[in-house]
Amino acid sequence: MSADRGQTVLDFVVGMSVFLVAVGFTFAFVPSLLEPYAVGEGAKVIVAERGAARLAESSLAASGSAATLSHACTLAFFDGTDPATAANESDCVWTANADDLHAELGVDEFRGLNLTVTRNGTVEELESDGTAVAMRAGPAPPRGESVAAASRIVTVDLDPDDAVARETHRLTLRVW
Amino acid sequence: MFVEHLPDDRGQAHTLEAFTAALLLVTGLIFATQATAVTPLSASTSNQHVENQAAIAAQDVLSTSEASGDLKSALLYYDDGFVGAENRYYTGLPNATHPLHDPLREAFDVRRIAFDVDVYYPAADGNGIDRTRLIDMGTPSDNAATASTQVALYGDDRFGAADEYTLAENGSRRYFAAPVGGGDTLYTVAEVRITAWQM
Repeated sequence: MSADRGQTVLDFVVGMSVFLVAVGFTFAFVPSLLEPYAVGEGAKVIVAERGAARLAESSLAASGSAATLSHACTLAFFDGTDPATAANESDCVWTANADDLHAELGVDEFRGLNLTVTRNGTVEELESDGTAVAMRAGPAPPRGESVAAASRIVTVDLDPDDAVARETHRLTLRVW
Repeated sequence: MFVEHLPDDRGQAHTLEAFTAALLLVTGLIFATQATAVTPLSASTSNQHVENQAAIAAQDVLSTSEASGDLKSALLYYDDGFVGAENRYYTGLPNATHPLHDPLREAFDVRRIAFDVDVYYPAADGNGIDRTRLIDMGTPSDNAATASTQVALYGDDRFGAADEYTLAENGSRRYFAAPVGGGDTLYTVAEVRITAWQM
């Protein structure tokens, strides 16, 4: 090695570390640039939006109106009534109850589904003859995974026997 | 191997090549972020899903409140300016007695989404469309979502703070929309439009 080199060891260390930090930063940053174009995420959002639309507009809706939920059908859906019984008694159109959300929405079993009907952030309960049924279905969403959520604004009468009319609620379907 | 020279032998102060290379990489990165329209650093108000959700919420509010009659009640809650408003129209969420308080709160207010509600109806002189504000929270952003629905108002509909007037008798003087045509039953058809955007 030539003894005439002008570069000292210190110069080399400083220069090289700056260069390596820049390379590391670039490689770490580029994947996040492409994140908006990642494909897998889009499917979850679509499943969530379509699923929420199906529940709010046909499965739980009172006949002939979108987003206005039928008390009888919603209660039967969440308390696990048999589909045939529900169809006979209240003309409900859903084909599987809250215990089998995947079948009702036509979603593969490997996806996670969680359905809640909330008001001001808390899950509300449907009342009928003194028994209360919470309007929620499916396991809690995992913390570590990315979850897509879609909401619909719906009105439902929590208890037809009391004086309070239909109140506005938020139906949220989470998919992961 | 490198040989440590005495300071007076040095021909170079720093490793300029490494700095230059690092600068090139970072410049390339900056160019890439400028070239892509949507990056993770873009404002979330331009997110398509957020926009869709606001549009769906607005449409749901209109269809549910129309089905329950609250939307029509809100239009008829008018006595020389919407009742309870400081300046003829509301500048925020209407108070709890207002028929649209409940749906608008659940859909937008608890989510910190701003919204305007405007009413469009045929102008009094028969030419074009007039607008009256029902709720005005400011100018919508570029990524606002809208939804609208039509409401028919009839001559025997009652309006005012305590439903003391009917549209057929007092409408042309005290109500914001003028009667259309000469029919006895139909008074006018109003289009209610909600514009919602992330603040």
